[in-house]
Amino acid sequence: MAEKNRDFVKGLWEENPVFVMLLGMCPVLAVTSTATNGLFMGLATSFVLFGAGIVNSLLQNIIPDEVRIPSFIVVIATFVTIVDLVSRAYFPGIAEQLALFIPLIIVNCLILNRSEAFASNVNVLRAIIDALGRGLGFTWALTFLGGIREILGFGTLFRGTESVIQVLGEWYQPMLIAILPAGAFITLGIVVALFNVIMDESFSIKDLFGGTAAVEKEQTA
Amino acid sequence: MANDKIQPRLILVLTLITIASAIVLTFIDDLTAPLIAEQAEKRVQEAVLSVVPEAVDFEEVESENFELFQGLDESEEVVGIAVQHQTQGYTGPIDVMVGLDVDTRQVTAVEVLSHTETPGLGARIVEEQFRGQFEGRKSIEEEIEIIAGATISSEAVEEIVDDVIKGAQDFEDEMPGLETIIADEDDLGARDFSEQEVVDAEQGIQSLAKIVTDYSGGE
Repeated sequence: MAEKNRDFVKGLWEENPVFVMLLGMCPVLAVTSTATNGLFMGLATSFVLFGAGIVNSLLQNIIPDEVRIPSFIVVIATFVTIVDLVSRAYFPGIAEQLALFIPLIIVNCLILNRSEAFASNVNVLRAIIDALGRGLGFTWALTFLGGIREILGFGTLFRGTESVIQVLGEWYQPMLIAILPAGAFITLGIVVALFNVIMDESFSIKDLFGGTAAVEKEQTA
Repeated sequence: MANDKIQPRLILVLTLITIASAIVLTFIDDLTAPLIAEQAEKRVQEAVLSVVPEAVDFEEVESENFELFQGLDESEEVVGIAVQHQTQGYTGPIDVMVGLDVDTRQVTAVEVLSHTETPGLGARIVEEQFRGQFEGRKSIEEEIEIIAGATISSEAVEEIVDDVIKGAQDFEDEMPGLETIIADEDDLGARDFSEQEVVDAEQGIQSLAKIVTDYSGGE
């Protein structure tokens, strides 16, 4: 049980696909201009991760090693096409926003990574738990990035839905760069740096100002 | 590889997976295709009805260069024309629906159907403040106030409206219901000249007169 818990938590936090493993950067940079887009992209990717994880785990003894990558890709592509068709049928607004990036989930290396390195080597239950953990980890990361960029760039949260929240008032002059591509790189860079600081247990605030401690540490290393 | 012969099992498994995938997708496509078509139709329908405010129904008309719709009122009379047209914007195609009044050929409204312009800049072409400028126009000779930082996107929409206005002359051939109305109007010579046209004409006459006097004076 403990092992399964770890599988789940790993994807959420310490091996977060976006902030630690830096996987799937294309959608991370491209569709996080609003929290809504980030959330939807995260959920779509999670569904594919989940479906492909189960199928590829079940088929692990049937698929010969030599053709495992093409087999995984066909399975992943099937789930992506399902997401694409269903989102266009039921959520046309957001599907149009994400447009090309939904079919591109196929080549998101996060999904192939999980199928190849994890799901095809463990039982279905662990594959499901891992997929849920990584999927949620990817989703919160995208929503978080989208949220920051949306607040800075529009002053709102969850634009384009009925539950849009006006975070900053009329006085706020939107910072356009946040929602442009450059803003994606800047925001991601800062968040990843903060994440590293939080994750690094040997790091203390003193190092930033003390100077000597940091130098000593570097020298001993 | 241990043995150089390709094992038939490889081919078999991959083929089976592909077939299974095709079967699943066929089912999903069957389920979603009508819904997707319905969504697309709904978008066009909403756009036509919004650019031709008096219309309650519409029908598509065969046209060579444009996607042409005529808006109908309760008694099936043609009350307006909606033209769907697109051009290249800054980052991709901009698809616009333009409404024209049947009698005056004035622009009644402009609606942006789809675009991929930069959020916050070019994407502001969908805002009423920009689109509203085209209302009531018969030409775009008078300057449109373009969106700051989005010259290309603004001019693309301008170009579409211009194309549609210029193309309007051809619509009468393609829309049988319209022919009589416009023909009548032409007989009466009831064309309104824009201020600019009047000024241009006056200037033309003056400069002609000047040439004539200069010429005769020189002799």
